Amino acid sequence: MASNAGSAEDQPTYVEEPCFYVFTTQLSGNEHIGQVAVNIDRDSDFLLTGINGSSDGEYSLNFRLPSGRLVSNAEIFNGDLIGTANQPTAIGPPPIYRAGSVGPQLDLTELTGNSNNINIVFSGIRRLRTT
Amino acid sequence: MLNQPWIDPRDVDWTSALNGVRNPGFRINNNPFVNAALKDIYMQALANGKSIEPRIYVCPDPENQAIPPGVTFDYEVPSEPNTWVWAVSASLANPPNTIGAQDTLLVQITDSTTGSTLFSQPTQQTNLTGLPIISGSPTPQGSGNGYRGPQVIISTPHLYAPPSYPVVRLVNTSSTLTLQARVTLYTCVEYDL
Repeated sequence: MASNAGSAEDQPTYVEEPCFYVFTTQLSGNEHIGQVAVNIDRDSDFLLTGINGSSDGEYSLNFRLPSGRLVSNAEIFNGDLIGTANQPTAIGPPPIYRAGSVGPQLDLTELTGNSNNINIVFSGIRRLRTT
Repeated sequence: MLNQPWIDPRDVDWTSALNGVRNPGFRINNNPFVNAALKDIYMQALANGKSIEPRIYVCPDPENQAIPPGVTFDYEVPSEPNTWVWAVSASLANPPNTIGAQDTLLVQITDSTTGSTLFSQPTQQTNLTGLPIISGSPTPQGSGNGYRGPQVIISTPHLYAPPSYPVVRLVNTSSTLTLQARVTLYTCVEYDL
């Protein structure tokens, strides 16, 4: 019997769903935290397509791509990167974070000098493998 | 709008952030200029290409560069070969202290090799923000005045082929005020994974 290896029937199939990974933290004045994991679910890959969020005040951030490289040469001011819920900032082409990975590890720096509640929403597509 | 054809949601590539139909603020009725930019063939090629990674450059590095009054500051962006710039944003750390057009940060982005400039003349920082200009000043996000996100998506992505790289020029037109400036370049680069 002929092998089906490499045929269309052997290709993995996926179901794609909308997905939001929400990161919340409270930083004290001028606090810096580095390489904080935003863990990706173990059952599905995550395509990051947008960023939005809210905060009490200004801060700067940077995050890592699936390759481990930082997306930016320096931390980015939140007003230049963070979009709103109906208009998330487009990240493209979308990086694919593998299931079970540490996700977009965050570097954050508080800039107001006061306590700052920060919410960051990574929006995108969850890709569940079905076969 | 009823004069636009209906698009079957099943035909939309929801995995592409740079799909002009996917994002409400990028649709043709909300923002025809961005919608047209996202339909540009080079933008589509980048969005769908293999081994293309996003990169963001903060100019200058660090993000809060103090530009003294009257000073022109050139920042040579340490970009990788074959960087495509597809969006820009700019902001000031101390806009409440500025007084209208006198205390303005001007921005120009130049190709280091060809000398081609993105703008015909240095443009005000307030023209490089997704914030709507209400009464002459950018209106903060979340105010319900049509915030479209921080990115200003340019009409077609610009390739900086080696050995060229972008040079971001910042001009502080104030005679008294030091401005803390930041220009953010949204780019992508071809990378072997």
